[in-house]
Amino acid sequence: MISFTPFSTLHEAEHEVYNDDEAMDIDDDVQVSKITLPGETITSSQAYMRGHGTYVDNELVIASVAGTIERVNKLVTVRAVSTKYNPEVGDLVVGRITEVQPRRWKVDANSRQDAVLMLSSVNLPGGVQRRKLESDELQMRTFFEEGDLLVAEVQAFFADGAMSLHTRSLKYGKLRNGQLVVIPPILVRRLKSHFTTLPCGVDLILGLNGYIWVSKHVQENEQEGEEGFDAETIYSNRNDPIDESTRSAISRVTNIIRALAAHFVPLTDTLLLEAYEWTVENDIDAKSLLSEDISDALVASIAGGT
Amino acid sequence: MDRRRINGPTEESFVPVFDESPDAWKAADGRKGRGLLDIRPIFLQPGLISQANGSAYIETQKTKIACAVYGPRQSKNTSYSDMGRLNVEVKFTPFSCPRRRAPLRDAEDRSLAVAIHQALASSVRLELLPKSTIDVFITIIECDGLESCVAAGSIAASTALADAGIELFGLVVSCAASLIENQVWLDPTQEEEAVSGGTLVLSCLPALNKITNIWHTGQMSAMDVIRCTEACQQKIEADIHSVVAQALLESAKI
Repeated sequence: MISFTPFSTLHEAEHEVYNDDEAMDIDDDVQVSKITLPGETITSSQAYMRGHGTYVDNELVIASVAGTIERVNKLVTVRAVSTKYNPEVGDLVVGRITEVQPRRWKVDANSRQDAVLMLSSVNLPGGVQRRKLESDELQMRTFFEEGDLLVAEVQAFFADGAMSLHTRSLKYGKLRNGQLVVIPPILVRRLKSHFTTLPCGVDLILGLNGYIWVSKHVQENEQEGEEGFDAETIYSNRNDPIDESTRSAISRVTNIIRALAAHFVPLTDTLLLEAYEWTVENDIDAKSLLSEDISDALVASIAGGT
Repeated sequence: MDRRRINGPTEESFVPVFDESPDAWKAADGRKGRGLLDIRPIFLQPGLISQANGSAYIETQKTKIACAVYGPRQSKNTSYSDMGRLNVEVKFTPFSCPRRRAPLRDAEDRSLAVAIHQALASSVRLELLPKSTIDVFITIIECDGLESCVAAGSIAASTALADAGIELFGLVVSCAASLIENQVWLDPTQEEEAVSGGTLVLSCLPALNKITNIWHTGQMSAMDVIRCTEACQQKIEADIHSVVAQALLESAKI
C-alpha cells in the first residue's frame, strides 16, 4: 500500500553523493571534504570500513551525523561540526565541579557523561605522597567545591565509559585569576604543550574538551613548590590582585578566541599571538572585537597572513 | 488618584481590534492562496540558540516554533540504563493561540510532546549513549493548527538533533493532512482543521523508507487514511526533506 521510493540524491547539483566506490577513488592523497547528512548513503560496506559518525545497513555505509566526510585509506568517518568531547587517556581538560560525592567529585568536562575525580587522584596538602585519611574525606569541600574550575588530565576510563581525571601534578589543580571561554572541542588541536604563555602577560590553558582558561601570568619561580606546598594557596578561592592592563589583556584574548571560534578557525598559540598583535596594531579594544565586521577583518587578516 | 494600585486608562479606551471574524471562511469557498496539495513555505534555520548544544527555528507562515537540544549529558537519576533517554518537552507561549494558553494548567502540550517523542525516538541512536539523557525543548511561539505544529515541531527537533551532532539513523520529516469534503488538504491551518472530518500527521525517515509515527485525530475511512498518508509521503520526499537537508548543509558548510 505505502511504498517509499528509494532515497533520491537531493543535492547532486552541488555535491555529488558517493556511489559505491567509483567516487571514492578520485584521489587518495587529496582530502576532498564533502558534507553529508544523517541517513545519506556514503559508500558500500564491502569496499570500505565504517568509522565514527556512520553505521552499516544493507551492506551500505550510511552517515549518522551532519558534517564532513573524511577518509583515511579504507576507513570512512563523518565529523560533525559541533559535538560533545570524546575523551582519550592523557588529554588535558578543563572542567567544573558539579557534585561532591563520597571520596570523589563529579566534573562537567563537556563530555557525554560527567567525569570523575577521585580523592585519591588529587594532591593532598602537607606532603608529596601521602595516604588519604578519613579527615580528608570529611573535608573534601575545602579542596574542591561545586562550581570550582580545575585543570586535570584524563587518567583512565571506567567500565561505563566515564572518564577518570587526576590532578597529581603541580601544573594541574584549581583555577583562579582568570576567565573561561567555551568553544567547540573540534577547534582545539593536540599541541606539544597545552599550557602557553602569551607575551602580553596572559597564561592560556587549552583544554582539549573545548574549555579554555585565560588567566594572569604566574612566574615560574612563584609557582607553589613541590615540597611541603601550602594548601592554602593551591586550593584557595581568592584571586590575586590583578592590575588593569592584565585584566584588559585577558578580556582581549578571550574575545579573540570567541571571534576565531565563531569563524571556525582552529586555535594555535601562534595564531592567537598574531591575532593579538593585530588588535594592538589596529588599536582595537576588547569590546569592539565582538562586533561582526571587526571579527571578520581579524579572521581575514590572519588567514591571509598564514 | 489611587497610587497603590494599577489604575486603568484615565479617560478613553478603545474597542479591541480583531484580526478577522472567525466564521467568515467556509470549506466550500476553497483554499486561500494555495492548492490543496501545497504546503505553506518553510523557513528553517539551525543553530539560532547559542547556549544549546543544537537548535533550530522553523516558521511556516503563522506557525513559529523554536527548538533547543541539550545533551547528551549525564542522566540525573542514579539508576543505570544501557540506553540513552530522550526527553521531549513542548511549551506553548501564552500568546501562541487565539485564546490565551495558561502555562502549567495546559494539558495539550503533553500530548504534543508524546507525539513528537514517538516521531523522533526511533531515529536517534540511543544505544550508543548509555547513562545519558538528551533533552529536547520545543517552544511554540505561534500556533496555527495543532497537527501542523506537531509536524513542524518534529522537523525542528530532528534538525536540532542533527545540529547538535547527535548520531541519528536519518532525519525525521513529517507532514500533516486533513480530509475536508472528501479531499486531501495538506498542511492544514487552524481554521481548516476546524472544518475537517479528520486529520493525520505522518512522520518518517525518507532516507531509509521508514515510518516512525502516524498521529490521527477525527474520523476517516481506511481508504482515506491511505490517501492522506500517500499525499503526505509524496510531499515529504519531493519537497520537505530537501528543505531540511538544505538548511543543515548550509549550516555545516561554514
